[in-house]
Amino acid sequence: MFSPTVRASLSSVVILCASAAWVQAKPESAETVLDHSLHELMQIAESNKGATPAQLAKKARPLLERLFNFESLTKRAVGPGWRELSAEQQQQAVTLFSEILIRSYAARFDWHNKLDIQFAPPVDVGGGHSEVAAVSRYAGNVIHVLYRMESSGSAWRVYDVVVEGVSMASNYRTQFDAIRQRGGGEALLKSMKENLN
Amino acid sequence: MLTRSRLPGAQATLCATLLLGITLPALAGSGVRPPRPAPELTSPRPTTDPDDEFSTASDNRPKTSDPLEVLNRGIFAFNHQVYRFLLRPLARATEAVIPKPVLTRIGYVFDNFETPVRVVSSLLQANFSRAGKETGKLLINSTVGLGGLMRPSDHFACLADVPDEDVGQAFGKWGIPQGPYVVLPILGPSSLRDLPGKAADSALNPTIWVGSNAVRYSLTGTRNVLLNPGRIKAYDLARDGALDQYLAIRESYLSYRAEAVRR
Repeated sequence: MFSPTVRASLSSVVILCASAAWVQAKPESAETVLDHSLHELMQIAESNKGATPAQLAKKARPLLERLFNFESLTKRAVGPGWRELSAEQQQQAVTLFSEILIRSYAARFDWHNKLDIQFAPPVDVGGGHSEVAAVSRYAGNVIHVLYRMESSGSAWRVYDVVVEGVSMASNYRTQFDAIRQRGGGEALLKSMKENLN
Repeated sequence: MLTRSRLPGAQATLCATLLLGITLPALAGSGVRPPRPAPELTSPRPTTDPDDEFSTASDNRPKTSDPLEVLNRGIFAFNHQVYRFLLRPLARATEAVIPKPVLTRIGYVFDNFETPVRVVSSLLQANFSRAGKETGKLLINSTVGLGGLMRPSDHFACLADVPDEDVGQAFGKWGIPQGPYVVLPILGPSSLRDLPGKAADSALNPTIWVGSNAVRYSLTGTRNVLLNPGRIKAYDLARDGALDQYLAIRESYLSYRAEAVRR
Protein backbone atom coordinates (compact mmCIF):
# COMPACT_ATOMS: atom_id res chain seq x y z
CA MET A 1 0.00 0.00 0.00
CA PHE A 2 2.79 2.46 0.94
CA SER A 3 6.22 2.51 -0.55
CA PRO A 4 9.11 1.65 1.80
CA THR A 5 10.15 5.32 1.86
CA VAL A 6 6.68 6.51 2.84
CA ARG A 7 6.41 3.74 5.47
CA ALA A 8 9.77 4.75 6.91
CA SER A 9 8.69 8.39 7.03
CA LEU A 10 5.39 7.52 8.71
CA SER A 11 7.19 5.34 11.25
CA SER A 12 9.57 8.20 12.05
CA VAL A 13 6.66 10.59 12.54
CA VAL A 14 4.87 8.13 14.82
CA ILE A 15 8.03 7.53 16.86
CA LEU A 16 8.71 11.24 17.15
CA CYS A 17 5.15 11.98 18.25
CA ALA A 18 5.24 9.18 20.80
CA SER A 19 8.58 10.42 22.13
CA ALA A 20 7.30 13.97 22.37
CA ALA A 21 4.22 12.78 24.26
CA TRP A 22 6.40 10.75 26.62
CA VAL A 23 8.74 13.69 27.23
CA GLN A 24 5.77 15.94 27.90
CA ALA A 25 4.22 13.46 30.30
CA LYS A 26 7.43 12.83 32.24
CA PRO A 27 7.50 15.11 35.30
CA GLU A 28 10.50 17.36 35.67
CA SER A 29 12.99 16.56 38.42
CA ALA A 30 13.22 18.93 41.38
CA GLU A 31 16.56 20.20 40.12
CA THR A 32 15.21 20.84 36.62
CA VAL A 33 12.18 22.68 38.00
CA LEU A 34 14.50 24.95 39.97
CA ASP A 35 16.90 25.50 37.11
CA HIS A 36 14.14 26.37 34.65
CA SER A 37 12.27 28.56 37.10
CA LEU A 38 15.30 30.55 38.15
CA HIS A 39 16.22 31.15 34.54
CA GLU A 40 12.69 32.19 33.76
CA LEU A 41 12.82 34.62 36.68
CA MET A 42 16.02 36.07 35.36
CA GLN A 43 14.50 36.47 31.93
CA ILE A 44 11.52 38.26 33.42
CA ALA A 45 13.87 40.59 35.23
CA GLU A 46 16.03 41.08 32.16
CA SER A 47 13.05 42.03 30.00
CA ASN A 48 11.71 44.37 32.69
CA LYS A 49 14.85 46.27 33.52
CA GLY A 50 14.02 49.55 35.15
CA ALA A 51 10.58 48.37 36.22
CA THR A 52 9.36 49.45 39.63
CA PRO A 53 9.25 46.77 42.34
CA ALA A 54 5.45 46.71 42.06
CA GLN A 55 5.64 46.11 38.30
CA LEU A 56 8.25 43.42 38.73
CA ALA A 57 6.19 41.75 41.45
CA LYS A 58 3.21 41.65 39.10
CA LYS A 59 5.26 40.09 36.31
CA ALA A 60 7.00 37.54 38.52
CA ARG A 61 4.00 36.58 40.64
CA PRO A 62 2.61 33.75 38.41
CA LEU A 63 6.01 32.07 38.24
CA LEU A 64 6.68 32.48 41.97
CA GLU A 65 3.26 31.08 42.80
CA ARG A 66 4.07 28.09 40.61
CA LEU A 67 7.55 27.58 42.06
CA PHE A 68 6.72 28.08 45.74
CA ASN A 69 4.12 26.25 47.76
CA PHE A 70 3.17 29.29 49.79
CA GLU A 71 0.56 27.41 51.81
CA SER A 72 3.10 24.86 52.94
CA LEU A 73 5.67 27.57 53.61
CA THR A 74 3.18 29.56 55.69
CA LYS A 75 2.26 26.48 57.73
CA ARG A 76 5.90 25.88 58.50
CA ALA A 77 6.52 29.53 59.30
CA VAL A 78 3.57 29.69 61.68
CA GLY A 79 4.47 26.29 63.16
CA PRO A 80 2.60 25.00 66.19
CA GLY A 81 0.34 28.03 66.18
CA TRP A 82 -1.22 26.99 62.87
CA ARG A 83 -3.92 24.92 64.56
CA GLU A 84 -4.92 27.84 66.73
CA LEU A 85 -5.91 29.81 63.64
CA SER A 86 -9.40 29.49 62.20
CA ALA A 87 -9.73 28.30 58.60
CA GLU A 88 -10.38 31.87 57.54
CA GLN A 89 -7.34 33.13 59.44
CA GLN A 90 -5.20 30.40 57.90
CA GLN A 91 -6.28 31.44 54.41
CA GLN A 92 -5.59 35.07 55.25
CA ALA A 93 -2.17 34.18 56.63
CA VAL A 94 -1.22 32.37 53.41
CA THR A 95 -2.39 35.29 51.26
CA LEU A 96 -0.62 37.93 53.36
CA PHE A 97 2.61 35.99 53.82
CA SER A 98 2.93 35.18 50.12
CA GLU A 99 2.34 38.85 49.37
CA ILE A 100 5.12 39.84 51.81
CA LEU A 101 7.53 37.40 50.18
CA ILE A 102 6.69 38.37 46.60
CA ARG A 103 6.99 42.07 47.36
CA SER A 104 10.27 41.48 49.15
CA TYR A 105 11.55 39.59 46.14
CA ALA A 106 10.65 42.39 43.77
CA ALA A 107 11.99 45.15 46.02
CA ARG A 108 15.34 43.46 46.41
CA PHE A 109 16.17 42.60 42.87
CA ASP A 110 19.72 43.69 42.18
CA TRP A 111 20.27 44.50 38.55
CA HIS A 112 23.98 45.00 38.92
CA ASN A 113 25.24 41.60 39.94
CA LYS A 114 25.27 38.44 37.89
CA LEU A 115 24.21 35.13 39.34
CA ASP A 116 26.20 31.99 38.80
CA ILE A 117 24.46 29.02 40.38
CA GLN A 118 25.13 25.30 40.18
CA PHE A 119 22.81 22.58 41.44
CA ALA A 120 23.61 19.19 42.92
CA PRO A 121 21.34 16.25 42.10
CA PRO A 122 18.25 16.15 44.35
CA VAL A 123 18.43 14.08 47.53
CA ASP A 124 15.26 12.17 48.37
CA VAL A 125 14.55 12.68 52.08
CA GLY A 126 11.35 10.63 52.04
CA GLY A 127 7.69 11.46 52.28
CA GLY A 128 7.63 13.07 48.86
CA HIS A 129 10.31 15.58 49.90
CA SER A 130 13.58 16.32 48.14
CA GLU A 131 16.45 18.64 48.88
CA VAL A 132 18.49 20.33 46.19
CA ALA A 133 21.81 21.84 47.24
CA ALA A 134 23.17 24.71 45.22
CA VAL A 135 26.32 26.78 45.25
CA SER A 136 26.09 30.31 44.01
CA ARG A 137 28.59 32.99 43.36
CA TYR A 138 27.21 36.41 43.93
CA ALA A 139 29.20 39.65 44.02
CA GLY A 140 32.40 37.78 44.78
CA ASN A 141 30.88 35.62 47.53
CA VAL A 142 30.27 31.88 47.51
CA ILE A 143 26.86 31.14 48.99
CA HIS A 144 25.47 27.69 49.81
CA VAL A 145 21.75 27.27 49.39
CA LEU A 146 19.50 24.32 50.09
CA TYR A 147 16.10 24.22 48.41
CA ARG A 148 13.59 22.05 50.24
CA MET A 149 10.98 20.82 47.83
CA GLU A 150 7.90 18.65 47.91
CA SER A 151 6.07 16.83 45.22
CA SER A 152 2.81 18.63 44.72
CA GLY A 153 0.67 16.70 42.26
CA SER A 154 2.89 16.23 39.24
CA ALA A 155 5.30 19.06 40.03
CA TRP A 156 8.01 19.89 42.54
CA ARG A 157 7.51 23.05 44.55
CA VAL A 158 9.73 24.83 47.04
CA TYR A 159 8.53 24.97 50.65
CA ASP A 160 11.69 26.34 52.29
CA VAL A 161 15.02 27.84 51.35
CA VAL A 162 18.06 27.46 53.58
CA VAL A 163 20.84 29.96 52.89
CA GLU A 164 24.13 29.28 54.67
CA GLY A 165 22.27 27.31 57.32
CA VAL A 166 19.53 29.89 57.80
CA SER A 167 16.08 28.53 57.05
CA MET A 168 13.49 30.98 55.76
CA ALA A 169 10.61 29.12 57.40
CA SER A 170 12.46 28.82 60.70
CA ASN A 171 13.50 32.47 60.66
CA TYR A 172 9.94 33.63 60.13
CA ARG A 173 8.66 31.15 62.71
CA THR A 174 10.69 32.87 65.40
CA GLN A 175 9.11 36.20 64.48
CA PHE A 176 5.60 34.79 64.13
CA ASP A 177 5.85 32.90 67.43
CA ALA A 178 6.75 36.04 69.36
CA ILE A 179 3.87 38.01 67.86
CA ARG A 180 1.36 35.18 68.26
CA GLN A 181 2.28 34.59 71.89
CA ARG A 182 1.71 38.26 72.64
CA GLY A 183 -1.63 38.67 70.86
CA GLY A 184 -2.73 35.45 69.19
CA GLY A 185 -3.65 34.88 65.55
CA GLU A 186 -5.28 38.27 65.14
CA ALA A 187 -2.07 40.03 66.19
CA LEU A 188 -0.10 37.96 63.69
CA LEU A 189 -2.44 38.87 60.83
CA LYS A 190 -2.42 42.51 61.91
CA SER A 191 1.36 42.53 61.94
CA MET A 192 1.46 41.03 58.44
CA LYS A 193 -0.96 43.66 57.18
CA GLU A 194 1.12 46.43 58.76
CA ASN A 195 4.20 45.07 57.05
CA LEU A 196 2.45 45.38 53.70
CA ASN A 197 1.22 48.94 54.32
CA MET B 1 29.40 44.49 48.43
CA LEU B 2 30.34 42.12 51.20
CA THR B 3 33.52 40.31 50.74
CA ARG B 4 34.50 37.02 52.30
CA SER B 5 36.28 38.79 55.09
CA ARG B 6 35.65 38.29 58.77
CA LEU B 7 32.32 39.97 59.01
CA PRO B 8 29.97 37.42 60.51
CA GLY B 9 27.51 40.07 61.56
CA ALA B 10 27.29 41.58 58.13
CA GLN B 11 27.20 38.16 56.51
CA ALA B 12 24.38 37.10 58.77
CA THR B 13 22.54 40.21 57.74
CA LEU B 14 23.16 39.24 54.15
CA CYS B 15 21.70 35.83 54.94
CA ALA B 16 18.66 37.52 56.40
CA THR B 17 18.42 39.56 53.26
CA LEU B 18 18.64 36.51 51.07
CA LEU B 19 16.02 34.71 53.07
CA LEU B 20 13.63 37.54 53.37
CA GLY B 21 14.10 38.31 49.70
CA ILE B 22 12.99 34.76 48.93
CA THR B 23 16.12 33.52 47.28
CA LEU B 24 19.12 34.22 45.18
CA PRO B 25 17.55 35.21 41.86
CA ALA B 26 16.19 38.24 43.60
CA LEU B 27 19.75 39.43 43.80
CA ALA B 28 20.83 38.83 40.27
CA GLY B 29 20.11 40.68 37.11
CA SER B 30 21.45 38.15 34.66
CA GLY B 31 21.78 34.43 34.30
CA VAL B 32 25.19 34.48 32.70
CA ARG B 33 27.20 31.46 33.77
CA PRO B 34 30.91 31.88 33.24
CA PRO B 35 32.82 28.62 32.96
CA ARG B 36 34.17 27.75 36.39
CA PRO B 37 35.32 24.63 38.12
CA ALA B 38 32.50 22.94 39.97
CA PRO B 39 32.75 23.89 43.62
CA GLU B 40 32.19 21.39 46.35
CA LEU B 41 28.43 20.89 46.52
CA THR B 42 28.01 20.00 50.13
CA SER B 43 24.46 20.36 51.27
CA PRO B 44 23.89 22.61 54.23
CA ARG B 45 21.95 19.93 56.03
CA PRO B 46 18.66 21.03 57.48
CA THR B 47 18.66 21.86 61.14
CA THR B 48 15.38 20.03 61.51
CA ASP B 49 13.76 17.26 59.58
CA PRO B 50 11.33 18.68 57.02
CA ASP B 51 8.54 16.45 58.29
CA ASP B 52 9.09 17.56 61.85
CA GLU B 53 9.16 21.14 60.78
CA PHE B 54 5.96 20.66 58.84
CA SER B 55 4.29 19.24 61.90
CA THR B 56 2.35 21.85 63.77
CA ALA B 57 2.03 19.65 66.82
CA SER B 58 5.40 20.34 68.36
CA ASP B 59 8.35 22.59 67.98
CA ASN B 60 11.64 20.99 68.89
CA ARG B 61 13.94 23.78 67.80
CA PRO B 62 16.64 24.71 70.30
CA LYS B 63 15.73 27.76 72.33
CA THR B 64 17.76 30.87 71.73
CA SER B 65 19.62 32.26 74.71
CA ASP B 66 18.88 35.97 74.83
CA PRO B 67 18.79 37.08 78.47
CA LEU B 68 19.92 40.56 77.43
CA GLU B 69 17.07 41.02 74.97
CA VAL B 70 15.87 44.32 76.44
CA LEU B 71 19.36 45.80 76.35
CA ASN B 72 20.07 44.23 72.97
CA ARG B 73 16.93 45.71 71.49
CA GLY B 74 17.98 49.13 72.81
CA ILE B 75 21.38 48.84 71.16
CA PHE B 76 19.72 47.53 68.00
CA ALA B 77 17.54 50.66 67.93
CA PHE B 78 20.58 52.84 68.56
CA ASN B 79 22.47 51.11 65.74
CA HIS B 80 19.53 51.71 63.46
CA GLN B 81 19.80 55.45 64.00
CA VAL B 82 23.57 55.37 63.49
CA TYR B 83 23.10 53.49 60.24
CA ARG B 84 20.34 55.85 59.17
CA PHE B 85 21.98 59.17 59.88
CA LEU B 86 25.67 58.39 59.61
CA LEU B 87 26.61 55.17 57.86
CA ARG B 88 24.00 55.22 55.09
CA PRO B 89 24.95 58.72 53.90
CA LEU B 90 28.59 57.64 54.11
CA ALA B 91 27.80 54.54 52.03
CA ARG B 92 26.04 56.64 49.39
CA ALA B 93 28.99 59.01 49.23
CA THR B 94 31.44 56.11 48.91
CA GLU B 95 29.46 54.52 46.08
CA ALA B 96 29.10 57.87 44.33
CA VAL B 97 32.85 58.37 44.35
CA ILE B 98 34.20 54.84 43.88
CA PRO B 99 32.87 52.58 41.11
CA LYS B 100 31.50 49.24 42.30
CA PRO B 101 34.09 47.09 40.50
CA VAL B 102 36.84 49.07 42.22
CA LEU B 103 35.16 48.62 45.60
CA THR B 104 34.93 44.89 44.97
CA ARG B 105 38.61 44.65 43.99
CA ILE B 106 39.76 46.58 47.03
CA GLY B 107 37.60 44.29 49.14
CA TYR B 108 39.49 41.36 47.60
CA VAL B 109 42.80 42.94 48.60
CA PHE B 110 41.73 43.26 52.24
CA ASP B 111 40.35 39.73 52.12
CA ASN B 112 43.71 38.49 50.86
CA PHE B 113 45.53 40.53 53.48
CA GLU B 114 43.48 38.90 56.25
CA THR B 115 44.47 35.36 55.29
CA PRO B 116 46.40 34.82 58.59
CA VAL B 117 43.10 34.97 60.49
CA ARG B 118 41.75 32.08 58.44
CA VAL B 119 44.99 30.08 58.48
CA VAL B 120 45.40 30.30 62.26
CA SER B 121 41.71 29.55 62.82
CA SER B 122 42.01 26.46 60.63
CA LEU B 123 45.12 25.33 62.49
CA LEU B 124 43.33 25.80 65.83
CA GLN B 125 40.81 23.28 64.54
CA ALA B 126 43.60 20.97 63.35
CA ASN B 127 42.25 21.45 59.84
CA PHE B 128 45.61 21.41 58.09
CA SER B 129 44.08 20.88 54.66
CA ARG B 130 42.08 24.09 54.92
CA ALA B 131 45.07 26.01 56.28
CA GLY B 132 47.08 24.77 53.29
CA LYS B 133 44.39 25.84 50.86
CA GLU B 134 44.26 29.31 52.40
CA THR B 135 48.02 29.57 52.10
CA GLY B 136 47.81 28.45 48.48
CA LYS B 137 45.16 31.08 47.78
CA LEU B 138 47.34 33.74 49.38
CA LEU B 139 50.33 32.79 47.25
CA ILE B 140 48.39 32.67 43.99
CA ASN B 141 46.29 35.78 44.55
CA SER B 142 49.23 37.81 45.87
CA THR B 143 51.39 37.01 42.85
CA VAL B 144 49.30 36.16 39.78
CA GLY B 145 46.38 38.11 41.24
CA LEU B 146 48.46 41.29 41.65
CA GLY B 147 48.35 41.59 45.40
CA GLY B 148 44.86 40.22 45.67
CA LEU B 149 43.18 42.60 43.23
CA MET B 150 42.11 39.52 41.30
CA ARG B 151 41.22 36.02 42.42
CA PRO B 152 42.86 33.57 40.03
CA SER B 153 42.59 30.98 42.80
CA ASP B 154 38.86 30.75 41.98
CA HIS B 155 39.82 28.95 38.78
CA PHE B 156 41.17 26.01 40.74
CA ALA B 157 38.36 23.73 41.88
CA CYS B 158 40.06 22.90 45.18
CA LEU B 159 40.52 26.59 46.05
CA ALA B 160 37.28 27.96 44.64
CA ASP B 161 35.11 27.30 47.65
CA VAL B 162 37.18 27.22 50.82
CA PRO B 163 34.85 27.99 53.74
CA ASP B 164 35.80 31.03 55.78
CA GLU B 165 37.23 30.41 59.21
CA ASP B 166 37.59 32.59 62.28
CA VAL B 167 38.59 32.07 65.87
CA GLY B 168 34.97 32.05 67.05
CA GLN B 169 34.36 29.06 64.79
CA ALA B 170 37.40 27.33 66.29
CA PHE B 171 35.89 27.85 69.75
CA GLY B 172 32.69 26.30 68.42
CA LYS B 173 34.62 23.30 67.10
CA TRP B 174 36.15 22.86 70.52
CA GLY B 175 32.65 22.44 71.90
CA ILE B 176 32.24 25.84 73.50
CA PRO B 177 28.55 26.76 73.23
CA GLN B 178 27.40 29.95 71.53
CA GLY B 179 26.22 31.48 74.80
CA PRO B 180 23.88 34.45 75.08
CA TYR B 181 23.24 36.60 72.04
CA VAL B 182 24.78 40.06 72.21
CA VAL B 183 24.28 43.15 70.08
CA LEU B 184 27.33 45.40 69.97
CA PRO B 185 27.07 49.13 69.38
CA ILE B 186 27.64 49.82 65.67
CA LEU B 187 29.23 46.39 65.04
CA GLY B 188 25.92 44.56 65.43
CA PRO B 189 25.20 40.88 66.20
CA SER B 190 27.54 38.71 68.22
CA SER B 191 27.48 36.17 71.05
CA LEU B 192 29.35 35.49 74.25
CA ARG B 193 31.50 32.96 72.39
CA ASP B 194 32.11 35.22 69.41
CA LEU B 195 33.16 38.27 71.44
CA PRO B 196 36.62 36.88 72.39
CA GLY B 197 36.71 35.32 68.93
CA LYS B 198 36.34 38.74 67.35
CA ALA B 199 39.08 40.11 69.61
CA ALA B 200 41.39 37.29 68.54
CA ASP B 201 40.52 37.86 64.88
CA SER B 202 41.48 41.51 65.27
CA ALA B 203 44.77 40.56 66.88
CA LEU B 204 45.54 38.20 63.98
CA ASN B 205 44.61 40.78 61.36
CA PRO B 206 47.79 42.12 59.72
CA THR B 207 46.20 45.53 59.29
CA ILE B 208 46.94 46.16 62.98
CA TRP B 209 50.52 44.93 62.79
CA VAL B 210 51.87 47.20 60.10
CA GLY B 211 53.53 50.58 60.37
CA SER B 212 52.73 53.37 62.73
CA ASN B 213 49.43 54.05 64.44
CA ALA B 214 48.55 56.44 61.63
CA VAL B 215 48.99 53.70 59.03
CA ARG B 216 47.03 51.19 61.07
CA TYR B 217 44.14 53.56 61.67
CA SER B 218 44.12 54.55 58.00
CA LEU B 219 44.00 50.93 56.86
CA THR B 220 41.28 49.98 59.32
CA GLY B 221 39.28 53.10 58.51
CA THR B 222 39.61 52.56 54.77
CA ARG B 223 38.55 48.94 55.13
CA ASN B 224 35.47 49.87 57.13
CA VAL B 225 34.49 52.69 54.81
CA LEU B 226 34.82 50.46 51.75
CA LEU B 227 32.86 47.61 53.30
CA ASN B 228 30.22 49.93 54.69
CA PRO B 229 28.04 50.16 51.52
CA GLY B 230 27.62 46.39 51.46
CA ARG B 231 26.72 46.28 55.13
CA ILE B 232 24.21 49.09 54.85
CA LYS B 233 22.65 47.64 51.74
CA ALA B 234 22.23 44.26 53.41
CA TYR B 235 20.77 45.90 56.49
CA ASP B 236 18.34 48.01 54.46
CA LEU B 237 17.22 45.07 52.39
CA ALA B 238 16.61 42.97 55.49
CA ARG B 239 14.25 45.52 56.99
CA ASP B 240 11.38 45.28 54.51
CA GLY B 241 10.26 41.69 54.79
CA ALA B 242 10.77 41.20 58.51
CA LEU B 243 7.87 41.50 60.91
CA ASP B 244 10.37 41.85 63.75
CA GLN B 245 13.73 43.02 62.45
CA TYR B 246 15.56 42.31 65.70
CA LEU B 247 14.42 38.69 65.79
CA ALA B 248 15.03 38.18 62.07
CA ILE B 249 18.64 39.30 62.35
CA ARG B 250 19.23 37.48 65.66
CA GLU B 251 18.03 34.15 64.28
CA SER B 252 19.93 34.62 61.04
CA TYR B 253 23.14 35.37 62.91
CA LEU B 254 22.88 32.41 65.28
CA SER B 255 21.90 29.93 62.55
CA TYR B 256 24.61 31.24 60.26
CA ARG B 257 27.26 30.86 62.95
CA ALA B 258 26.08 27.35 63.84
CA GLU B 259 26.35 26.39 60.18
CA ALA B 260 29.79 27.99 59.87
CA VAL B 261 31.04 25.88 62.78
CA ARG B 262 29.51 22.75 61.29
CA ARG B 263 31.09 23.36 57.89
